[in-house]
Amino acid sequence: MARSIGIDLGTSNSAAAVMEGDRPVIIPSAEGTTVGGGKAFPSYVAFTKDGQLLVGEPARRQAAINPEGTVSGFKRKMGTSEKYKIYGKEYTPQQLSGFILQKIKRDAEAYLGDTVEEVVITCPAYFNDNQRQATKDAGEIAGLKVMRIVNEPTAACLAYGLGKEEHEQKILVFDLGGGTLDVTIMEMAQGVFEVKSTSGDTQLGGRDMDEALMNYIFDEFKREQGIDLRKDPMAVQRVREAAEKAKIELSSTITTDINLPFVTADQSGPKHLVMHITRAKLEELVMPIVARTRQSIEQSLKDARLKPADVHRIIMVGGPTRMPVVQRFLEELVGKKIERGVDPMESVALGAAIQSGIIKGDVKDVLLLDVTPLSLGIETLGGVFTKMIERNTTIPARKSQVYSTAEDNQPAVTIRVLQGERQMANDNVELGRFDLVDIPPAPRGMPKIEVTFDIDANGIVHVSAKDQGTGKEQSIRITAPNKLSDADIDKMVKNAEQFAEEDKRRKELAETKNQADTLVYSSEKALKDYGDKVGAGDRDAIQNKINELKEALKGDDVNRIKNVMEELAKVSQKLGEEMYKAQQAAGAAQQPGAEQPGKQQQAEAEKAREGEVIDAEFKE
Amino acid sequence: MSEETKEKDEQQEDTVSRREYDALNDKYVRLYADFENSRKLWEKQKLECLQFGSFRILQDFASVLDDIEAALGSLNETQHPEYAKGLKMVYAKIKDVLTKEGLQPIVAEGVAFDPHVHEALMFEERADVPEHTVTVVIQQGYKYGDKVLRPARVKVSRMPAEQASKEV
Repeated sequence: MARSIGIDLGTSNSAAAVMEGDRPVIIPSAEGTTVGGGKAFPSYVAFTKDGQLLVGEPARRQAAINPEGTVSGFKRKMGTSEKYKIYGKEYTPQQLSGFILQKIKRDAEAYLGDTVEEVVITCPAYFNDNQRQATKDAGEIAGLKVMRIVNEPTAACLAYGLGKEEHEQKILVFDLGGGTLDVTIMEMAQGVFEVKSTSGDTQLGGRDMDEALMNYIFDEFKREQGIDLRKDPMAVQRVREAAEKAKIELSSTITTDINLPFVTADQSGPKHLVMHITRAKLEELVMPIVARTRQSIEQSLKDARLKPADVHRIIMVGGPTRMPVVQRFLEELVGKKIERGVDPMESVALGAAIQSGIIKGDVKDVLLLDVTPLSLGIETLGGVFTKMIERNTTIPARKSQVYSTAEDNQPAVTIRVLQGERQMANDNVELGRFDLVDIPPAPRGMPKIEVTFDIDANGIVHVSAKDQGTGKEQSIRITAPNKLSDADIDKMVKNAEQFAEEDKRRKELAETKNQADTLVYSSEKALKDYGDKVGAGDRDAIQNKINELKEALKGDDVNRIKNVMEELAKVSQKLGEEMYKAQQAAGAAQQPGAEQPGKQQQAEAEKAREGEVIDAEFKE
Repeated sequence: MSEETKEKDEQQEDTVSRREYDALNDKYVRLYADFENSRKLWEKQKLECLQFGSFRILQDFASVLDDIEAALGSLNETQHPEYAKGLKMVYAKIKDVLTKEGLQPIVAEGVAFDPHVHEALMFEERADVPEHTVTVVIQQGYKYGDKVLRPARVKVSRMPAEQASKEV
């Protein structure tokens, strides 16, 4: 099946995206990578002297040595009668844009493993009918069916998820690219976007900012070392890379270091470039450039007859708008927070892909599956909350787990169904409880009780407990587990974070107590069975420690419990040796010591097998 | 209600439930197909993420190799032969590790300029080599698999002015 894609056909760079399920993703160029690729197609076209056509990155790389054969920036001439003469042959801006689109089509097809026939292409909001027609023609030249030409600011808004609101909203789209600024004011209501005004500056962009930073580095080095690095091409190249990296780092950190050892040399020996650059310094350097955008913003507001306070949302487009100083400038000027969550470098292409999905009908009628807002689980020994289904699990979902009893000859278990994020049962909300009774007498830990949680697509929770020994089963059905409002859920999640440390301590106490309790139980049993094999002194020592541990268990001092547990384990060693000897003497045939773990393994295996059965059911 | 109308009603009900069943089944099959496709995409992206991890580390290391090359370039070997030897060993070792990770240096000097792997920064007039030959590598380029980590930044030859005009 042929795929449809969205293309951001830019002045200096272009990008493309495709819908994967209900989400748009960027298509990498053959030269780039997927992740972090950004705008991957430089809008350059070149012919070499021997007539070879180069498009994109390779064309840009040879521009310096083939200026007469290389063109870029032809987007600015779209819809005019201007022609580009290259080695005696004439090309229209549409044809040149067509080469770019053809390259994008080819790379997209290689990436998707499928043909690409239909596209949505974006253009600036100020493009007139002629320019739009030319853009469409460029698509046809590339062998593509252009489903629609969409305004770049509209596409950006779509990428940010705007367009669904009922109420009329005024949006300011601030698009600062490598070399151009476009400011657009739009009015949006019920998915209809109307351009109110546009303004801009064709000689303002991120490249000026890079230059400012590089010049600062060169000047500083010259001041300190008396050497002008601009004259050394190798040094210039290394500084360019380091400056680019520093600029990106300073968007997320406050300071960064540029280290270029052996950057140059003079009579006295090698020279190193070591520079500490703060975000404040970078902002001071680029501020004059950022401030120049004010005029375009004010002009566009004036043309739309709006005051800054009338703007509902600010949308950022273009790489340089990732810089905090640019974002702050906009927020202060307009008095609103900017929209976040989408890479401004990719937003136009992503929005174009969303538009292509809407036209093709891929986007509507998505089956929306719910998720559980909070974790679900049961109370286990010591009041601990054991999660069965984690929060944010997509439903329907089903999960089983085998539990056991805590005491010898325990006749019944109580299943408390709980919802929440805290570690102790009582801090969470109880949704319901039931008892599974008539469990046949057995030592603790022996009965196998399988607890199953099942949430259907409507959010109804079924909890069942089954004694695997007798097959006896008991269950509960909770019809409205999410009586909580969003605010309640939020509060519960926040509480869990707030009390995380305290909860951890309480859970540790509960678990330590469980371990200690088990140790008391097994020690008493061993003493009863094998006590006559050791001396009276050892017997008394063990009994004393058991008593001491029982006493400690009445309190809540984790360290004390742990210490006594260790002491008890130490004095019981002799008893352990005797037990081991007795078991060996009993012969390999019976191996009573191996009995329990063996059964446990079997239970694990059963669990795994059951898991498979559930999967198989699901597949059919 | 006569037998006949009752039968008709049942038939209609059957058709309705049949249609509902078909619609649901269609939705289910589509969803399942989506799921399968997503799974394939995860696999693909998982692989890409792993590769991208190496890609990014190697990209960062390219500038470290620049540093060592610059150090080697400025070292006086006759004055400090053992330092030079040691530093060369360090360089060789790092390169060896990175080569095993998939780093491949791009061949540039003396070959014909290729914009797919080279980036031209400037010209040099030279009569002794064919036009558009890489004469100087300003910054070493690297590849990872078939992808360019960083193109080789180069100086490219051009015919001296008087010779070029003669040809025309």
